[in-house]
Amino acid sequence: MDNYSIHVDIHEAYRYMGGFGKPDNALETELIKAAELIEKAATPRVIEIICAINKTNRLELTELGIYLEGKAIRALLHDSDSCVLFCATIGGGVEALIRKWQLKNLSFTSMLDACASSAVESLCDGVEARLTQFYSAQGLFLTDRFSPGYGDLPIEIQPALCSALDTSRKIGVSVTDSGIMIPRKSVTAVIGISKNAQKHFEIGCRDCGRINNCNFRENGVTCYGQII
Amino acid sequence: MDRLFENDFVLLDGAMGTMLQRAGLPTGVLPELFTLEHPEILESIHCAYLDAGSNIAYTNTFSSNAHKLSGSGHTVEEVISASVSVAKRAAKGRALVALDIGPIGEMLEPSGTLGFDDAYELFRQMLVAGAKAGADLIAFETFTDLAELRIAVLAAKENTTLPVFATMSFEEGGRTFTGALAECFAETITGLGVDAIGVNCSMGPEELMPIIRRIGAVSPLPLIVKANAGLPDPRDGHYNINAAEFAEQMSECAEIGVQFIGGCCGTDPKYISELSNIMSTAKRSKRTVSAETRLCSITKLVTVDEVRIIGERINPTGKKRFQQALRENDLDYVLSQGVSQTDAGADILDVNVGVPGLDEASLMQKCVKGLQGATDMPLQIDSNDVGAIEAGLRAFCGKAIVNSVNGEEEKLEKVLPLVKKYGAAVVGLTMDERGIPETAEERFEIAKRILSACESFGIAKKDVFIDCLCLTVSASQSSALQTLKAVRMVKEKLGLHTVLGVSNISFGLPNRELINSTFLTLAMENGLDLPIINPNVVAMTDAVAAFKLLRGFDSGAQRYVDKYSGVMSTTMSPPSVSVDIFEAISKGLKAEAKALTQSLLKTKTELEIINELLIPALDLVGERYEKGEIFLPQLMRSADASCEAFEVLKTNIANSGGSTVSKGKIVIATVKGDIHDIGKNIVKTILSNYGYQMIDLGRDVSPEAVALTAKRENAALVGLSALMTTTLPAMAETVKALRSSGHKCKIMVGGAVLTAEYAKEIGADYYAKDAKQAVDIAKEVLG
Repeated sequence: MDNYSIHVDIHEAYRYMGGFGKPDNALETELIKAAELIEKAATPRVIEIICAINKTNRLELTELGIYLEGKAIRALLHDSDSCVLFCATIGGGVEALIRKWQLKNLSFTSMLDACASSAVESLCDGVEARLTQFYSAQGLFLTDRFSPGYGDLPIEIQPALCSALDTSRKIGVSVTDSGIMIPRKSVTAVIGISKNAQKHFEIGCRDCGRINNCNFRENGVTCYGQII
Repeated sequence: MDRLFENDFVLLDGAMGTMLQRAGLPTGVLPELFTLEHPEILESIHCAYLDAGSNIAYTNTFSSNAHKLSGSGHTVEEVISASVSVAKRAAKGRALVALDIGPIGEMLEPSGTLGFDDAYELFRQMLVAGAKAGADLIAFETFTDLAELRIAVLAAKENTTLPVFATMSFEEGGRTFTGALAECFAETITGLGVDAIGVNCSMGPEELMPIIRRIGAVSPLPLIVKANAGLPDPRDGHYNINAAEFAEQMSECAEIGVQFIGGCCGTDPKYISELSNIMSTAKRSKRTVSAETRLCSITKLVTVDEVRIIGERINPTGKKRFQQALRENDLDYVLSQGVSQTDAGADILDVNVGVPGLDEASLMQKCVKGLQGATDMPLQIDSNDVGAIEAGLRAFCGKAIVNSVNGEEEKLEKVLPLVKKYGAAVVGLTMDERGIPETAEERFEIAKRILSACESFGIAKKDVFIDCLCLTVSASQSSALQTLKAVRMVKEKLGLHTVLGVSNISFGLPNRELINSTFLTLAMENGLDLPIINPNVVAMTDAVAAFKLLRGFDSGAQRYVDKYSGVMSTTMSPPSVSVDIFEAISKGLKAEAKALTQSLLKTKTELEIINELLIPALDLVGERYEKGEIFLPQLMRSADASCEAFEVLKTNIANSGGSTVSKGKIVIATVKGDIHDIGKNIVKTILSNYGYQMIDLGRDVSPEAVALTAKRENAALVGLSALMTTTLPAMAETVKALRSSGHKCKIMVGGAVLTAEYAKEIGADYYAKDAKQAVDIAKEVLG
């Protein structure tokens, strides 16, 4: 099994919390403490499979019989015949930590929560970096990674992806009836494999259902950290 | 069956999924449904394993629960009875048939949304169907959540008479995905009276051996190992050891003393046949199981091999603020007492929630559930009410202590069967119908009686603790000596662990801490193992730390040095009083806010402080937030500081017998199916800082529960939160349920995916973008 390291970016965490600019010193000190606790409590795990893509009609992960709906994912995978499907989690220990702090200190709890989000992002970055290295050695290129809930790819697809990856048995991630992954700090994502380098692709807010009602955009950034 | 279980080794079978895939099981199809169509394939797999030497066939029913079968058009009974009969047909009397049951596939509360009763019912259906179809035993396997396995075992014990096997899947290091520790699994599940326990899946034999050793060191039960064919290649999923290597690695089971052996993922009949060959000449070694007393939660094991602190703070006796919290269903207050004791060094938490007029059993169940989510402490269920004891034991996953029984026969007969059933330890008080005897000798006699009663119910001696009772020394000075003497007698002559509530000793005296900590040291020297104390009182935990060092329990003085080496430099400096309460709140200075409020109470009433100082300070913070001068993190820090101030006021009011501060009641909840509650809790905290009485129903709350509570509490405002597009329909249903309940109230809704338009569409009165807007709405509705 590959070993994954995670890293919390406290500035990213601050942004997730609705902060803008640089946190003041007091907040920064607390964010550093929160980041340390999260990195200690995390038990990162990843499971991945490679799937062929069928684009004849709808976009289908062939062997899995799963359809990926929406314009955005179609645009992303237009040049790919196969993709990597993966699920990454930082584990349930983080959740227990957050539950405990919820009874002690609310602002610190939300720092922990934001740091945990940053940690799972960094885990995904690590997976992506490893895959890039692996495929570039074969002269292949990867697209950006894309998750249910990004753009117009419906979040309702989550249970099917988890079940295809057998996440419950392999890495301890299950999905509730309402489509929430447990542990909550878990991500599923698709990365296209292609013969050509990806042309400019912006996840973009255009196809997002919340474009007119987004707290991030109100603060002048997107949820993925782009300054508007 | 009895004869089979006398064999040195009993061979189980190998993988079912691997074999079915080879036989053409398509990806994404439930194996049970595939074999319903192809019983001949299933029968040939069973036969192949039995021909290879398996003594027990596991049925193809791993996922046959109603949750996984929903929408398949098949019932649990149908699938299970078909699978069991195929296995029986293949066994033809030459082997036993085990009803195989895996996890449900949904996470239990508090991580997920599946409740105890729902999980129980899913298992019950499968178990009853399996027993009816003629299974010889039950095999729970591949569990990663100990709480779920425990519910499954309870369902088996309560609904069938079949023997039960229970195995979990561990990672390297001996924890499951959900954090359950191998020793905690062994202690907890052994206590429920199963017939064999062990490990399956996740890794190969080599990696599983250290874990089964750890389980075997704790549990006297027969052991099971059903290992994978090594580790899978992360890229193609192929397992990395062949049948001969597998058998070779598995042969270590003989020396460890494992009786039930077989294969899991990646193994096939060849593996079982090799295993059968290699074990045919092996002898199973005798095992030694440690005789230590162990208590545990799911993730933490506490061995009573030195003094362990039982935290006493979760107890309403004599604490008005605590009683008020229980009356108002303010669970967070109770749970925060658990967290602060954990941080202060408690090893075990006592839980007593007895308040006259309240439903103690239901409160006990809620608190035990909540405490397990918030801390990793083993619990001591403390009640005089047998119903509350059972509710607590049933809800707690781990090995608990029951506090308490005494020499009264009636009580022993009611409580001890529960202690036995749930595998707990028990505290016996040295008193009976006639009261507390004066002399140590008389108390010792009662202790003896309690021990023999416990043993007659099958409770192990190591799980019987005696409390020799401590009386107020100011009333009778010789009583302290009698208690100490009794502790020593029980410890030395009966060999039992002792428990003692220490603080009682100083009742009515000045400088109680001095008497308490001195008496504690004396008691520990006389053999007290489990003092019940307030770990937040530094003098008490100090006495324990010093005792452990002086009595040689702290090798190299490591723990003592770790605890105290920084003490001089970090001694709490008194909070700076150069700031005023306004600044303390706007800058989020918690300690200052608390200290300033305490001193303000000398000149102002609670209401004056709230209205003239706290609310204006919060308003100012809110305005700055709205203008974009500060952000949510800063706003929340102010709310936290204000909470500290508020807690001072609440305690003051409760102690003076006044009624709760309330500018009106607001019911708040995260809707059904949603478990995101940080946002809801921010809104709750800020609103309560404005003096509103918040009735927090938590997360994943049904529409009916919201409507019922709003009506019962006559709340004029209800706040609903949802964070997922998939849970918005539940919010709409909740609004509908509130409207059709006939209760007139305003409804505000909020959450990341919500919009003002959607709020309007589902018939809510207000859309609250953030906590600041929620305050504005509350002011408008409630004043």
